[in-house]
Amino acid sequence: MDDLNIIELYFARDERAIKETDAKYGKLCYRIAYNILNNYEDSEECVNDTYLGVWNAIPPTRPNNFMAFVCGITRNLSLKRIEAMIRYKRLQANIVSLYELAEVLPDPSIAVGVSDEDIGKAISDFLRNEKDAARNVFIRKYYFFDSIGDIARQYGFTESKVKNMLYRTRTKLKKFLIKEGIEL
Amino acid sequence: MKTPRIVNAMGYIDGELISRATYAKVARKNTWLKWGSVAACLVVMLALAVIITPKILNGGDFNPSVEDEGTVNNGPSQETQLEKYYAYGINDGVFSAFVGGKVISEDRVGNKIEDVIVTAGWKNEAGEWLSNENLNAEVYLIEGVESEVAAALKFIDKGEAVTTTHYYVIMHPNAEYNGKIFPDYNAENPVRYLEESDMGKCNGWQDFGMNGEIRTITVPVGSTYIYQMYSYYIRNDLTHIYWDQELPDTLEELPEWLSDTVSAGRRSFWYSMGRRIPQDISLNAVTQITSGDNTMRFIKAEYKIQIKDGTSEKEENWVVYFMEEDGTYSTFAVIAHENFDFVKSYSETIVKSYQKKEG
Repeated sequence: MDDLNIIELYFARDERAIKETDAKYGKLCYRIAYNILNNYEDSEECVNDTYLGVWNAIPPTRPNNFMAFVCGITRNLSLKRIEAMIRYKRLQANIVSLYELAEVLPDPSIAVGVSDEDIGKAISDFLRNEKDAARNVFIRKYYFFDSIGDIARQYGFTESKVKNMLYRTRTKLKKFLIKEGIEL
Repeated sequence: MKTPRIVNAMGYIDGELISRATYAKVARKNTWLKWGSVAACLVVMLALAVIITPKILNGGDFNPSVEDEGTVNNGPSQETQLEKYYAYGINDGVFSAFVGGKVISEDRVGNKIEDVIVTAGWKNEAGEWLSNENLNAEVYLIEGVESEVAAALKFIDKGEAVTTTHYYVIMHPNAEYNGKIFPDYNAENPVRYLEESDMGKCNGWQDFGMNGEIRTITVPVGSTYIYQMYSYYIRNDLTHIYWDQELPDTLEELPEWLSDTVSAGRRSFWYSMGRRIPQDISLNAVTQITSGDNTMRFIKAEYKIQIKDGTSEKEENWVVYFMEEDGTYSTFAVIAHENFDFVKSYSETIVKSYQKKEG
């Protein structure tokens, strides 16, 4: 079903909306959740919670990009959950990806006056000027948290090439954010 | 440890960039393409040779005809790439039905049971072997666990994705667990979930609340079927469901709050337990209980919910236990398909087993 039609089902409070969302984006959401949580049950719960989040948010929200909207909720919920798992030392997952990026903008006290949303916009501006491959690899890794191996397989690169691309993009992004006055 | 800011900020990048990365056409610049191109050149050369040679021999001209130009091979397409995963299984005997993979520490391993041959290798997405080999291995007892339920496997021959130094847990996929795959093979220590106790055979300890756990029990097959063995119905920290709403201030208000159908979002709780959103929820009884060790207070609520499933409507009975710890609400919910009183008392026994986790 077309995204616009699914959104209409949400506006009509028709519960088929959830089934259609599941059919279309369930696998993708599950992959994001699993990449972050590395646990079947937690991932499945996060995906279910995503649908509830969408159900509660639409209406009034009418997302421009439904797929990104749904993925964003899964990503948020999964990150919140892993934060709680770290807090309560219940962690089984490999969370290296989360912290690789931290060197770019490590501390919450940095850029206090700038919201995460504004930093996200700046990152979008930066990524738009990157080559397609570098941009997609970066998003695959740090938005979807796909593994280096999976990314390498998908794009037909070697793993070391993917690692190099990510390293270069991270370094450039750091410089870009400094230039934009976001990292002080 | 907090999630780094940059990771949260990445969540706000432009949706269009995310879509493009999701649907990006794969620019496959790999050895297949390289050798595919070489192969394509060879095919052209061979085609030309085949076309030209007879003509030279026969004294004809060198121009290939139009239909001959269509013989160029473009190399393998992206669709020919197969996803694969590594799998192994014991060839014969009682352990051949076992599945698993989680590594277990050597100090949990007991005496050797038998020598086995294991088929190990790569399977495609459909589960068919792409390549495999036979490896010698040994099966060992796991201390405190019946070998019909789980055992440890040690490889004597090295396989491509298994070591000869680790012990791998293998488990019966459905022994006495109502046909469901349990325990969770990804759990930190799956063997912790397999114990005998005075309460009977345990399906395992499950996390309940932020620092505690309860001991779930297998209900004998043939009696009431309850789902609560699966932590799916245990919700630690309700804010995961209600991240966009204010939960009530006190635990006492929570059962009533969750029975509200006027606010669509409140029904989320029920949906999260069964992928269904009820039309009507009635809260029939609320009582208080405490854990056997007196460390935790719970509220037990009995609900009847109406679900519209297609054109038919059905009714379900639930008993839900609520607890609060450091301002965080958790719930343990049980569905009763029949014999509600039995389910209530049985689930209460489970909740009363609550204890703080060690460490």
